[in-house]
Amino acid sequence: MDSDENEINDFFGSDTEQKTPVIETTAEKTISEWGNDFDTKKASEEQVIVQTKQPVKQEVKTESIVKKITQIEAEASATVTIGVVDLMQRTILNIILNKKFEKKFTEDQIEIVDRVEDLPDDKLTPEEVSLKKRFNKSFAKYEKTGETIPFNAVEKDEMKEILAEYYKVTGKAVSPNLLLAGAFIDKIGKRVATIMFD
Amino acid sequence: MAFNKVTAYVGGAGTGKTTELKRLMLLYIKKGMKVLIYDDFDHPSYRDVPKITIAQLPYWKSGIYRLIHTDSQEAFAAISKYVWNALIVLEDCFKYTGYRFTKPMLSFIINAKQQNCDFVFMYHCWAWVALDLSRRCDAYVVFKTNDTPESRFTKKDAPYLEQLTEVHKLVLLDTNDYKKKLFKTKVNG
Repeated sequence: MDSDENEINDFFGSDTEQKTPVIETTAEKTISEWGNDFDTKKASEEQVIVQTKQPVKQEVKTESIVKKITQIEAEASATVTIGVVDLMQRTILNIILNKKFEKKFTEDQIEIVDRVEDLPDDKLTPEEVSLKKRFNKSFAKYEKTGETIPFNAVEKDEMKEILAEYYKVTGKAVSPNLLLAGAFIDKIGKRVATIMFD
Repeated sequence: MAFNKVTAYVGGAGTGKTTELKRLMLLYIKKGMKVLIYDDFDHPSYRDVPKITIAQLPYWKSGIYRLIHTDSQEAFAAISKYVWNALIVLEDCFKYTGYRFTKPMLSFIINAKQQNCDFVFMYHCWAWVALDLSRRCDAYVVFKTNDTPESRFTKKDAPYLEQLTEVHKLVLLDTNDYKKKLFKTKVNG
């Protein structure tokens, strides 16, 4: 170490022990030797050991600091939330739709329709033809309404954007465990809903 | 009582600024301080240093990190709010400080005293050194450059200009390409 480095060290307040590193070794220092450390909790009070320069204790801030979450966390939370909400509304609305449809026909009428469904009209009585037509018309309407229940891609994108912003602003993201659970509920629940109502 | 040191490293490319700075960073780490390198560009010289984002700054406990953020004002606001007990290195800072410091930047440097932060401003030549820095700078670490301190400062800006020029001449005359000298300004004692 030359005198210039000593002078620089003295200016920055190092003690004798701290003057040992040389340029060559310093340049090859690895990250682990630099002692990087990160805390998941906010470092509200910093404790450091210094002789030549005593670090100042960081004030505990009285105002609430919103925890910042990453874009990935926000988007994942938004996606799963939308999935679960979509599943819930599909389940509820499909049940309502089914009840509404079922109210239009008695059990006897549905039995007749089941029996004559595959038969040509000329082999049916006028009442049976009329019932079959009414049923088919209602069923087509039921199917059309059912298709509009799930969120479409545009709606999902819009809501995802809004929810991601919401999570970022509030600093609250869905926990990883809930994310996982939500993702499974979303995927399996959709299959269950399909089996139940389609 | 804590006081913050403001230092400017002035030297051309390949004169040993980064190497010298890495040595200094290790001194700070050994003292239990943190080191933050700020740049608006992912500088190859510091690729071995892990990155930190503005959002992560409140959770940073120790070690050396570099903050790459294109919006310097936003970065300075976050640093001044969350960074304590640290050496803050502003790499190639002419790009984002210009010839004059903005008011938030000046406040940031002055207020950092309370947060026990030291600053190192890195410049590639004297012509780019901010005039405001000449009055606030505690020391220069002088490396070889193509221009001289006189190409930037007048005696009005820097009362220590003559002495600084002498030191710069000594560095230039030295046969060692990596020659450096510390020059303490008289302004701040």
